[in-house]
Amino acid sequence: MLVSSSASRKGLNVPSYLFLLAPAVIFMLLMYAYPFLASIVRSFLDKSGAFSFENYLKTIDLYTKDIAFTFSVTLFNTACTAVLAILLAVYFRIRQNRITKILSAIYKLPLFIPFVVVAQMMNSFLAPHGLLNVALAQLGLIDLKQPLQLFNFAGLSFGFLWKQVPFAVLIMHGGFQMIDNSYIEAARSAGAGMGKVITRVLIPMNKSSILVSLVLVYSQIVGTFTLPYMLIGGKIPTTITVDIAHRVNYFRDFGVANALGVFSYLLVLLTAWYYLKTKLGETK
Amino acid sequence: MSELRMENLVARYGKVTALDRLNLTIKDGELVTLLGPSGCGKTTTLRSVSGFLKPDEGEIYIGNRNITDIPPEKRGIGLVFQNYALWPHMTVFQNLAFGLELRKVPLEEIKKRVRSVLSVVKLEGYEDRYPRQLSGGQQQRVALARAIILEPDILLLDEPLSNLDALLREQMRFEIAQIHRRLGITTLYVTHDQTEAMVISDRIVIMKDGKVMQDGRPEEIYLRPKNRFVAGFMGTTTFIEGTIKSSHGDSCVLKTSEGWELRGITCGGVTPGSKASAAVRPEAVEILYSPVATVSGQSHTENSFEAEVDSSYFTGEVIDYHFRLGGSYIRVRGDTKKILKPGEKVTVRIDPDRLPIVPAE
Repeated sequence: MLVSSSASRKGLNVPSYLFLLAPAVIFMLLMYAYPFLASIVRSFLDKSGAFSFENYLKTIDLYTKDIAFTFSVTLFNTACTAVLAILLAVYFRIRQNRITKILSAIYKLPLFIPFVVVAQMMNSFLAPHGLLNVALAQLGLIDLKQPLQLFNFAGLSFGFLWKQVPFAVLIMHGGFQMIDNSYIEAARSAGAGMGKVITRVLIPMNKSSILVSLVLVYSQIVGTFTLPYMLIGGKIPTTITVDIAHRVNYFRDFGVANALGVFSYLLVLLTAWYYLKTKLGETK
Repeated sequence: MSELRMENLVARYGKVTALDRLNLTIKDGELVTLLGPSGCGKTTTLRSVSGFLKPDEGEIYIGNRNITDIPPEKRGIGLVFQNYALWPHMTVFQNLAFGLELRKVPLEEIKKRVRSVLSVVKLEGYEDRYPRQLSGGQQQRVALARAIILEPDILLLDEPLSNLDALLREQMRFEIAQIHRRLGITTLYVTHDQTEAMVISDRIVIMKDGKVMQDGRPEEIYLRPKNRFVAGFMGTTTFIEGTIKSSHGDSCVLKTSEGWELRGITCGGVTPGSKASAAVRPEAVEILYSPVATVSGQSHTENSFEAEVDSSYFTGEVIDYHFRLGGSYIRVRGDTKKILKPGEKVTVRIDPDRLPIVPAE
């Protein structure tokens, strides 16, 4: 307040403490806003530099299946992550025993493994003669001459869940731990079994961290390159990120790559819109 | 019938015994308060009754129904928590309707019962508010309403007023007592606030180390403590030590090491020759501002002694004096019109009808 009034005495319209933000704002503008806006602008320019929808027409013509594939993989894995992470986080919250202690130590391990390593692991684990198929064959569940083909939607989902569920559990678990026992006990004394306690009390009370974790998971899946690249590569359908790399590496076609980028922004924008809508609703 | 009965309850936390063969019966419609210092076992008792803690030994009955192994949600017990535990994502209506919805009560009936219970706690018209839009006192009332709307056999209250400010706490004591009288639900109330316990209880159970030290009506507990612990826990008590010189029915005489004699009420079965403590409370002591002749510090008037002001504290309503009385210290409340200075000597008289004499520990 004092700084503000001294600033107004000097005839400035903005409080002087706002200048403290300048380095961060400049950094954000240069490193995030400028490349982001530049990629959108360039997606509307043809090779001669004139305004055109050519890149979008080409993108729609060539990559509609991949955009749909990316969206469906992302939605499916976000939904599966939600279910699995909520179940695990709730279990950690309501049961405190030796099993939860062991599980809560183990589940965090994937968080410390980079995507590229996960991709390599999945590559050997899910391969036609990889560990999974061999194990299933030894159990007599499949014939190794006709192994499960997992370098597709299923294998990609397996890799994403392996990596993303622990991340979501970590955030959700923190939120569930903040809920005092008395809220659970109040529900139980009102006649609620554990199922009702979870659905009517624990999950709604932890809505915020569940939402944050799923928005982050969704955004990360949309933007992940290494896992789809190493599992699916250029096969059709693949993800937008692989297509972008393909356009840049093989055709130096930054226009279509930028247009594909705009489609991934739009996919992420969906969650940003939902997140802001929910947060604004909570504030009201 | 909703009598609550605990038989030989034992609860242990590792090597610590929190409840040591507790036997307690709360009659139908009675409000009993468990009172004691932290760690005495009162919350463990409440949690055992509510079903959130399984006692190591013993049994709990509601009427003739053994509820020891019944899960909390099937016990028919209403709970009010210290932090109210209102679900923040639900409105007042939804908080109150929760238990009724689980019992599949029709919506119209739910609405009727919510309105009715809100009128009991004087919160008509607050149905659509969220807990964050209510004051602490209002939240406490909603918590109480949520517990009683299910018409439980037993109501348990776990220090429900401890989060309120002093003024509101005093007001809510009377309201809880009135609501209990109106509804007549068998109630177990846990607190460490003795005044709260005195105001609202039909009966008080003083606990220490998982055991019942005394169980009785509030006035009985206060005026006839059975032992030094209870005497010390209730009121602002200081002790004068000595030996019982004589005992006649309800009255006995304690002789101190200075040779002074104090007459008081026989409590806890003190007998002549036994070591005992006189529990002096400020309201039982009168300051005689005019000097009274004494012999070796004791006046000819019964229970009157020479005392020296050690320190004094102005509290607004009264002066809180610490007097030196022979080898003991007592606390006395004095009139603010005349303030005594440290070192001044006066005569004090201790009312024998308000002086419990209990066995020394």
